Amino acid sequence: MVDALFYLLSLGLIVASLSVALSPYPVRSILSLIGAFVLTSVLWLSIGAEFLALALIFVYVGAVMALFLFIVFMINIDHLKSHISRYMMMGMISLLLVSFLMIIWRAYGVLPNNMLAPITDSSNTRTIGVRLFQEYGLEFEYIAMILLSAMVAAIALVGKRDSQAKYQNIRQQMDRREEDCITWMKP
Amino acid sequence: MIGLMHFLVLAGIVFTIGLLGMVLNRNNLIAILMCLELMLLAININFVAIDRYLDLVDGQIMVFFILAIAAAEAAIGLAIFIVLYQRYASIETEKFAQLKG
Repeated sequence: MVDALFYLLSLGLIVASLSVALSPYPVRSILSLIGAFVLTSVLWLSIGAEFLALALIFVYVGAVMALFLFIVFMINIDHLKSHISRYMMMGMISLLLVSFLMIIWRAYGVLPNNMLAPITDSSNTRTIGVRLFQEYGLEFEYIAMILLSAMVAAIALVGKRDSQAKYQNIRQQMDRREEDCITWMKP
Repeated sequence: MIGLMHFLVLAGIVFTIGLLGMVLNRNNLIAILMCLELMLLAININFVAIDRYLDLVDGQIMVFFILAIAAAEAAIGLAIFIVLYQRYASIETEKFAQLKG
């Protein structure tokens, strides 16, 4: 049962990745990439990595892929042409498939197939959280700084000062005082 | 039974497909970034499988960090695409050949 699930999911994952790599339409390859992430998430659930399975869905499907879709909608990329002819592509794909078959055949024959550790009852999320904040606290804060700098960089690259729009002038705001703007009326 | 080797072979196949897509779509910057995400996914599958084999948590924490870095990379990459599109009205890599001799 579990074996059949693995083979089904990995077949789906390979088909989705081929569709990402070979589809001529960007929206279709983005949707295939979302499918690949979902299938990987189920695969991770089946071997007991629940936290990462859900984090993959949240981070990739929820944030990164939505960003990709926005960019594809903003940019006109219909006219992009491929340099490689159809025959060359077919040749490369069949070469790849043959090499995959050879890898699988050799790997299953020779290398030992080590079993994964059994899934325990303890909470995966709790274990990761304790370990992350006890031993990897500094790295966690580095990641926070990297994400902050990525956000600043993205806003600085794309956010444009538009002459039509209204902005606050911070200096002017700070210099403003009560007697400049409020007039007390006599009763 | 499904063991470590199955996951490693699967990750190898997905990584190679990502590499193939990068070579085939090398004129399209968005496709290159998507194939990069696919290759990162294959590496994450490797990390999680080996971590489950050794029964540690460090590999999963590393995957968590890789997810964060990949999100930052995608955000900056897409911002750069927007800037390139505003400047060259295209995101074909052919158009960025100003320094070509």
